[in-house]
Amino acid sequence: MANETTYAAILSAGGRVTKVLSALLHQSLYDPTGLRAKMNFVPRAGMSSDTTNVTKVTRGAVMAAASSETSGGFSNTLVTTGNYDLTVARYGLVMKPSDLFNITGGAFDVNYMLGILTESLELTLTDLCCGLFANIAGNVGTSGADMTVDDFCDALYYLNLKNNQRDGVSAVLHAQQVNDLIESIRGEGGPMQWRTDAQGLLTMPGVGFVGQFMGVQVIQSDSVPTANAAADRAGCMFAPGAFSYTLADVASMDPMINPADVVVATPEMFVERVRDGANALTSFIANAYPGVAEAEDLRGVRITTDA
Amino acid sequence: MSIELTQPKPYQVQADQAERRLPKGWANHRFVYVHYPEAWSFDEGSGFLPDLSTIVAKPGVNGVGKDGTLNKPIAGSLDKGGLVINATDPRLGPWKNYVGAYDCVDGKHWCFIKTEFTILPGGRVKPIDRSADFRAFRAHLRDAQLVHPLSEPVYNQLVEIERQRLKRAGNDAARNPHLRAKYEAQEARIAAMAKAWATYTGADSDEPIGILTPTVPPEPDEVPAVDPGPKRRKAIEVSA
Repeated sequence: MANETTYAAILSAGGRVTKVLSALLHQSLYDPTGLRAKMNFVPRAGMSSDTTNVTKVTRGAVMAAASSETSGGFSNTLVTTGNYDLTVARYGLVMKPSDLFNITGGAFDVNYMLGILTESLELTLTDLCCGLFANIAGNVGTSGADMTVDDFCDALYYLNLKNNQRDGVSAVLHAQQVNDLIESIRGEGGPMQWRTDAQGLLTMPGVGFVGQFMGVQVIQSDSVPTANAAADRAGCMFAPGAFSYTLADVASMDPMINPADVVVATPEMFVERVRDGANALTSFIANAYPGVAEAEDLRGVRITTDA
Repeated sequence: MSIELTQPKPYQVQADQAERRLPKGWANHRFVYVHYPEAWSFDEGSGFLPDLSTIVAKPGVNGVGKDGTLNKPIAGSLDKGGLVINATDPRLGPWKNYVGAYDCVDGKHWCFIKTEFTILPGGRVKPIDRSADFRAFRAHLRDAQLVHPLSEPVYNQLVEIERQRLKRAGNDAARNPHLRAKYEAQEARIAAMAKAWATYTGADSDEPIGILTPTVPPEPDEVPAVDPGPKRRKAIEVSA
């Protein structure tokens, strides 16, 4: 036999190619957790500074009893105030595809790349929010010991002692802390084992929002910082209002940038195009000016447990 | 005319050419340690140790600007009772300059000076456990009085947390006798805390710092002498 029309023969003759790209794009694992919604947005004020100062006022003064019916009066009460700063800083991300990359197309193309650039703002805010955990004064958990339901409850008790509302409390934990918490829930006896949310958490959900436990939204993020020379992770449980963020308005960069070169324009970020024609390269530069701050320390508590 | 290639140049990876930097994604920002008055924990080997927070020079975080200066976050930290541990303080002794940095592909990785990593083939990074060094550092901060002292209310708070755990461990052990060991370990931990507290207070605080005592109102017989007035024959006697 001879001259059969086989794949191997045609491949070697150039009638077939060794591989073709699938139309389906496999998205590799990453952590898409967004914590923006867990922070208060503070509109950036004024145009003369990179820093917005926010005043804090403590309400809740009670009246004093008079020492006499007709004399003595009252001394003045000073309203307790404080403040914190939100300073914006430039954050950016550059991707530089070539013309040939664009021409050859496929599921992974320039538009997909622009999607990554746009999403980067959310991930940056998550990273910045987690960057606030390390300086929270309140702390529960034991260095070198796995996270337990006890630590979770200690954090809840701490927040309660500081007059925090229970509604809307969140716990942002590292994956290791979530695993350890689930392990601890497995061993719980008494009423805890019958809680439906405890059963729900045992199903090992993935990244991001992993469930609600004892009224607390548990969120997993790989941005949770290390602590104690990388021996531990410092997660955080916090009530609404613990953290604030702002974003400088970049809706109009005219006349700094030719409007035709702004590929993505939002008030919060823009993606600028810079062409290197000689080398057939195009830079796409995502720009944003975020700032985050700890608005009130007593609204949060660190949960430091084994990494 | 054809050309024959017959002698490839031997290729050998030189040890000094191997990548000795941390991979992409490990870059972070400079930091300084800070201690808050209530931030204490108990370690059975080292006794009571201060828990350290970090102020990170990350632009856009807590008032840090593009230049990375820490003035604003440090001011905010002091405002809530933080005590910043200056890395150049001579009292740090062997731990002076406690922050170090490794080169990364995309910057620098700032870390505690004793931090070590193993980079596995394939580029995965595994931190080496140097928690013993960090405990020694914290113990030095305590002993050199570079942190807030452990006050009695904070100690009581720590003990109370452990007592609650003991109670729960007792409940568990009552239902499941095999958990008795956990209960006993918790009991031993509380006893060790009491012992460590005795050592701490005995060695360190003849004059407890920051304890407020109420002003005692004067007893009736301690009322100071007043002008008796013209109709009185004798002034009130004042006894010491």
